[in-house]
Amino acid sequence: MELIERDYALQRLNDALALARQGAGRTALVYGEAGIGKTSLVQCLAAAHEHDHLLRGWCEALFSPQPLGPLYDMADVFSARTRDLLGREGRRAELFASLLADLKSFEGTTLIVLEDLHWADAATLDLVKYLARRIQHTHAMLVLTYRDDELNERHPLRLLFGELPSDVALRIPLLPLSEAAVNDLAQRCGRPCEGLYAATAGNPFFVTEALSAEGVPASVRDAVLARAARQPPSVRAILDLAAIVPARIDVSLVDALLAPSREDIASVLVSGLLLAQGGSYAYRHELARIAVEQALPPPLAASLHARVLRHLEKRDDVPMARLVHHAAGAGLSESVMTYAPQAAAQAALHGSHCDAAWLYGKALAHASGLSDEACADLLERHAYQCYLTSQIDAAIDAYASALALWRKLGNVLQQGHVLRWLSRVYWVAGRNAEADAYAEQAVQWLESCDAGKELTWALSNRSQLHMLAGRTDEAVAWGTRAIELATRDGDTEILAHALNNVGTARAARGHVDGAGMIERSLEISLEHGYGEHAARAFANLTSTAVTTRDYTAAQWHIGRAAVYFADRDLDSWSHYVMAYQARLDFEQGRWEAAGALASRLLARADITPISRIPTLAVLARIRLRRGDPGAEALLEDVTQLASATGELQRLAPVAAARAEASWLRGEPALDDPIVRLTCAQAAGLHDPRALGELRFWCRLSGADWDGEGEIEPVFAWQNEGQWQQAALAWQGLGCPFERAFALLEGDEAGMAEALATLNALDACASLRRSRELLSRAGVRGLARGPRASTSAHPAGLTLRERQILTLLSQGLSNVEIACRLARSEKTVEHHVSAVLRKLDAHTRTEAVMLAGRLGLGEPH
Amino acid sequence: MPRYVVERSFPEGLSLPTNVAGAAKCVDIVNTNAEEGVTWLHSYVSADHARTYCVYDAPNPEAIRQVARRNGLPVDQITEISVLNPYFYLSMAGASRAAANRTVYRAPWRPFRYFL
Repeated sequence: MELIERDYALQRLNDALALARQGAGRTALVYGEAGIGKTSLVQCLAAAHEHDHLLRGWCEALFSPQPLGPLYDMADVFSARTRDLLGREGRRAELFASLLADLKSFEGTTLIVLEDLHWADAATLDLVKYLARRIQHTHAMLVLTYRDDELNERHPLRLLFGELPSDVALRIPLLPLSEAAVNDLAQRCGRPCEGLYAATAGNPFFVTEALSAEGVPASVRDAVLARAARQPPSVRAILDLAAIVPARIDVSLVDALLAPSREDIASVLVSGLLLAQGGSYAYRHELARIAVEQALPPPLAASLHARVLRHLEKRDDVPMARLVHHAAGAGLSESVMTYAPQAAAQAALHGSHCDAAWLYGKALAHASGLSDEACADLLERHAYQCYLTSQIDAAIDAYASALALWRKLGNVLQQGHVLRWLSRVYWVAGRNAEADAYAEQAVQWLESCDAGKELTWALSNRSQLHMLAGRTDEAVAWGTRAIELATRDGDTEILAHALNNVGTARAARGHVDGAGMIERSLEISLEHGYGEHAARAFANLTSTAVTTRDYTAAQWHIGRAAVYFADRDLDSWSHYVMAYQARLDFEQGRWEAAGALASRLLARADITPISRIPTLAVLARIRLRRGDPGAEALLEDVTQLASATGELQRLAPVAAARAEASWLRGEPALDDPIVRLTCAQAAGLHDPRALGELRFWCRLSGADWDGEGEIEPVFAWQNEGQWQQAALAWQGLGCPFERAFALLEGDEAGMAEALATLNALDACASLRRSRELLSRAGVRGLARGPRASTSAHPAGLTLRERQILTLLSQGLSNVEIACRLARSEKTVEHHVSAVLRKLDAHTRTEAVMLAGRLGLGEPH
Repeated sequence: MPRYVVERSFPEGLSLPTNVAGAAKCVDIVNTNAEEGVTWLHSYVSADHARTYCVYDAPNPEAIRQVARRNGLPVDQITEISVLNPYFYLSMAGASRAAANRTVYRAPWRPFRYFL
């Protein structure tokens, strides 16, 4: 088939295919309006490379899409293992991995085509994301087609495009034909070309339809219907039947329902509206099918749907999605109620939770004749799928309705179950007070009856809420009960959940056994494949390590978590861990890395509030300390977000930032209500770290908080004037900024070093304010600008440091340098570490390389 | 993309010769800036070449500081700015030809200097 005006697009696709042949796979997005010729383009591409593997899958315009429909279309070429994993619950990560392994094992180049992605289900979109991120190292090319005019702002496909790596995704828009091309086509058919371009606007399908019609039809619909109207009634019946079955209709189905004669079949194929492909008939284009379908009078359409449904019910290899489609089309309530829940369960199995939620909703809409018990069960399933897809309000409503029904039926166990879930959903919605109330109710109800597993879950849920709010003792008490019961009954999932909660609560207070418990939870989760629980364990290990300033352990956990999350595309968990990586870098003085990571995270559209809060806090503090614009705006944003949660773990960094901002402005920190409230909260919940940092800034800004409460030892030393010990401790932890502030309360040498450190960190605003305060306190000789020769040298190195850098680049050791300069080795070490810090280098070799690149060297 | 003014100080005086070496240094700076999406529009230099006020388009202040470090340039202060242009105002308000003709130059007009 020859295509007009598609040479450039074909050439780009061929180039990409050539790259894939060499082992660097690509993803191509082919898009345009309906009828623009996407399928024709792909067929042309496939025809030109016949010796390669070709895998094709289609998404169909069904009532609700069949989960992983396109994958089922191409399943035959995959290995037995992949086909086996298809449709098994909770094994999606393995399925995708197995599929990728199969792709890598194919010889030659593979072309994977997925068509009409605008109708895709969530699981297929996840598959596309998975493949697109990993296709660079295979001999495969992924071609996706979709209609861009059918995507609104919120379409999941738009989110997907944001996830695709931009350097390996080609965008190939297909444009309508030009007037010259349309006229050319008309001339080839020997038809007049007046008015053709004006009527068709260059849409290729419309043009071909118009060219085989008489005169110039006003629209595609008119052209198709005119052609259909010319057919005799028996042929029209076939066309009508084929119109209500999306994409393709089996030959056997047509024979069974209509028993057409051979002449009728021949006529219908000659008319050009239907094509015969394999064992089925298909309309030449979806637009034609829709035109005929919409022209059917509703009673006729409904009866056709009903007849198809009755026939399909007798077979057992029909995908559930088709049964639901015809049941809905026929308007048969009982059928919808029978099939929709089954289709929803299938969708949930495949991980298409949006579709599952929607299908359960549809089933509920037709659920008038259902028993109370079945209705309550359906409501619970609907609510759970809504919870998984962040449709929180719908989930709350559904659970509330289910609760009312169970209450009416007097089923205590189920009531307890729903109460626990209501508690969880309210917490996700940020309504902590209601969450706590429902958690209490759940435990009370379930304790009164012999509840077994349900009670253990309710206890663990209660423990989790206490842990998140910072109430350690309660969290440990409830959680320990849950652990006992879970161990006794051998419920591994609840055990993992409860160990995580208790471990996190204890670790957050600095108890050593806490991390061990979370590790145990992680072990159990990994062993039994509880993906979400493992992710939560990694997240809590990271956050507690960072909060307790165990920076080496935190970095190790982040590394492990990254490996685990990358394999499974667990994006929201990895954002959370990356937010803590940013905080780790920030607290260790690597502000450039922290700022870059924070900016990248905040640029993403899909980041959740609990990941946004630590990221915003870090970026706000960096900007405050550097005096860069935009700090106040960020601080306002994050204060709102953190206050909405009301949890100390979110509020503490925000309050510390606000206290520091007050100090920079010269106002007492305690004037800020957020700071006061958080101080009280930290004291009440016995959090020495949060209280320590807050009281430090309060004291510096003029008025210390006067309540009771244990504070972190380092800050306690600073309060008592033991600045040397504090500075040493900060150095051991690797926190240069905090160390500088400890030194500022020391002797003159200490102050000088502190100011130099702040200068090296680029903390301009903090530096200016410190100098101001020092000069007001009468300290002379420090409140000048940086030494002239320091700032003339780009990295801010002093003369002495430049000398030492030159000697370093000549390969001398510290001892040799000390000899050369007639200084003590201790002094040389001090200068070398200053050089490394100012150049932001980790080793001497790195420093020497950097020096070479920046052109630093011996002063003239 | 927000616009920023970056103040820098060069105690030993900024020197950027108008020869091949100077042009090469400018190209280096522009290329390094491009790595982070930072655009250097132009700079104003004080008469003693000790302070500069550089106008940049950048995604955020962190990017400006990153490329400044890579280029070996000091950063004193970053301020986010919006552009105020009197000609824009005059054209919007529909100042008439007659009003324009009424403008009187009080001081003798002398051109500004380009940095050399």
